[in-house]
Amino acid sequence: MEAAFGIVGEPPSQEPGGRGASPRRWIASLGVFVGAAGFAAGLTCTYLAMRDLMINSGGSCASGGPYAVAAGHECGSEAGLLIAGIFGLLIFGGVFAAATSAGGAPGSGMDAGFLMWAALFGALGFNFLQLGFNPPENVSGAGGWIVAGVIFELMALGGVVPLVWSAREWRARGGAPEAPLFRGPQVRAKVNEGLVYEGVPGIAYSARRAEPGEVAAPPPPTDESQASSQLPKRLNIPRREWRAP
Amino acid sequence: MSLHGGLGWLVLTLLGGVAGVIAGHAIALSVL
Repeated sequence: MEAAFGIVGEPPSQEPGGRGASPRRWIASLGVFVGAAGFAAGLTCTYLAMRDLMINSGGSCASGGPYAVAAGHECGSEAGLLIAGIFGLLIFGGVFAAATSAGGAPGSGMDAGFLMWAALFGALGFNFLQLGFNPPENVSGAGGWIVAGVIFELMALGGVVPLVWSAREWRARGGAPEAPLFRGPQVRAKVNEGLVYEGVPGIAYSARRAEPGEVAAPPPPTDESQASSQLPKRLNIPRREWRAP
Repeated sequence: MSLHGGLGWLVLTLLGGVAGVIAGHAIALSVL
């Protein structure tokens, strides 16, 4: 299980036998397993409790309070299971996404989110569709469940499509981790490039094009890895080596 | 990194998912 993830930038294991046993790998692997199991358990509880509620109470129930609850709509244990299942899948879903993100493979925490999104709306949408087309005997007007089911399945597609896309990209990379989005500065200030400043630095000054032989702000570096260290700290203040003429 | 990395995540997710569905069924059957 320790070799489950290829963590970007992590130094190779120094242990004999090449066994990668960094705590981060272990925690990420454990988190993925526990998160997936907890999410699936929560979703299963939600699915079965929702199904029980729809079949036995027509989809709505109540208990307590000053009003008399209609016969057949009293809440039983399924209401508690439904609420517990929802909280369980939310909490463990967070664990699953965080552990996937920490592990760094195969894509990102977004992929875990898409997977859970598709599973959640796909499973609950199936409940709506199946019971909408085959309504329980004591339920009237189950046609609304079909509408809800179609909407839920369309929402599930919103998770399936990016997941399939991500899987195709993963295959195209040959299983390599996703390249980082940002490798250096995306925006570079050019306001003082090739200029000479006159006056009191940072307070009252003006800028003009540098004459030949004058010290001016340096041009942007050609080496990308050095780019961030060459950037001025403030856009409108001359560099430290600048001296008033 | 090799294909192994992504497959590990997939296997862990599937194993966890199956275990979770079984556990969820057991919990629901005991409650309902």
